[in-house]
Amino acid sequence: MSKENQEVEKLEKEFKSKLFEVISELSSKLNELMTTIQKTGKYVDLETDLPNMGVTLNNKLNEMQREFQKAGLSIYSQYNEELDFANMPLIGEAIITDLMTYVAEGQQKLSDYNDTSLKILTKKDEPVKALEKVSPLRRMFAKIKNLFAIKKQQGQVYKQEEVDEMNTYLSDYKDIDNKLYNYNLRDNIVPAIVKKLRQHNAYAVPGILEESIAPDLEKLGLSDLTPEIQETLIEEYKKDSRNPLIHDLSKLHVPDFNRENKKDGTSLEEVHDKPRDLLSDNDRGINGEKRSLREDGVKLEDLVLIDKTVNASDRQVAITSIHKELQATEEKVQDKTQEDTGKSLE
Amino acid sequence: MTIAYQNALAEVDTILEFMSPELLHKIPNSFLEFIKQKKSKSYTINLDMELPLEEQDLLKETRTILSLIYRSYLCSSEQSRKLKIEDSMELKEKYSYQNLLKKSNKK
Repeated sequence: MSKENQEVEKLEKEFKSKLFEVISELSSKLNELMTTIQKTGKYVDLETDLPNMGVTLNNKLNEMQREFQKAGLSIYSQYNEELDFANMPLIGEAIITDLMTYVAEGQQKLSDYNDTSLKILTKKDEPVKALEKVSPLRRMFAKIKNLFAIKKQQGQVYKQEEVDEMNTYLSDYKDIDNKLYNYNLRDNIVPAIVKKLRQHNAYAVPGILEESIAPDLEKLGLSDLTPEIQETLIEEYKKDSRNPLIHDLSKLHVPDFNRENKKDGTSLEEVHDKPRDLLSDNDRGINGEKRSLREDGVKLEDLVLIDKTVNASDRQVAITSIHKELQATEEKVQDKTQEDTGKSLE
Repeated sequence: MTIAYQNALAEVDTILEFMSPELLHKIPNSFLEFIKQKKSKSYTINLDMELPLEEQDLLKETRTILSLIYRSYLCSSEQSRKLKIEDSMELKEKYSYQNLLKKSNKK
């Protein structure tokens, strides 16, 4: 086995072992809670047919793992050639985080149920506590009286509206479990990835969609979803742009997943060499179709055409006007990023 | 920097949003940063999404900056060299003694 595969397998093993340990712990806790709910359900009309979400999560993860394996991928680990170590693939991370979010929501519903139930019981318990303050004789009479009423009381601990409130939480829990049960890559991968990228403000990371997501989606047979991810990301970006941390619209990468590569009839060099008034529609990349900024974006041939409309003196004036300030910015940015392309605007 | 160039940088900044990532990657971050810093924040950009770049009603300065971006970062080095020669010939022609004399005679 190659060193890369060993690294991938090692990380997968470590991650899986930790993850399934957490899931097992979660399942036991949920089991305890469910037993309590079932006991209460003997006296009141509660939703007791509750699934254990830990088990649902476990099964779903195994299902996802198999789908990834079929595509020749691992949901937990991949080898990063650039960094020379194994890390978690972005899609895998997005899915696992998404699945865990469902579980967290489900747990919250049970916790809300528990809080409500305890609050009601504490309130009902107040007369019993008050009884402790009265004389021993009166307390004994009260206890004897309560002995006869005990069967009746158990059914009446909760009022109907209180039972309804508790059932709402349990019903919500069941719905979330159902969503987790029906979770599938085709329906859920787009929001999962968008959520993950949004979480990290990673809209502007160069090549993130083209290099880290699109190839894996292709292997999973879901490459048709890449444009949808792109569109959703742009929408989310627009929503988030009010956030002062996200301000640099020029860094938003808009890969060309939707656009078909139209073959131009003429090479760029030929377009360069033709005088502007001799350029045909074919040179302009029209090929009988109307082009637009929205559909076609900005391509190299567009810039060639723009370049032909500018004369040498205007270029010289522009260089003189902006050169000094550009140089100052370049120095600052190079200090900051240590990135030097070796090219300047000349 | 003049207001005309600040406005042009605002237009350029918006136009770059429509550029394919392969092209955008070739433009140094320092230049993108420069555009961001120096562009006018108040200039209203008026791009028609249904028209191609060439048919947009762009400022003259915007066209000039786009031309410089193309020549400096996007075209091949051979093409860049060829274009530089063309420019120097054009400037030489424009500022030749004969042409300058022609202009002053017209006045």
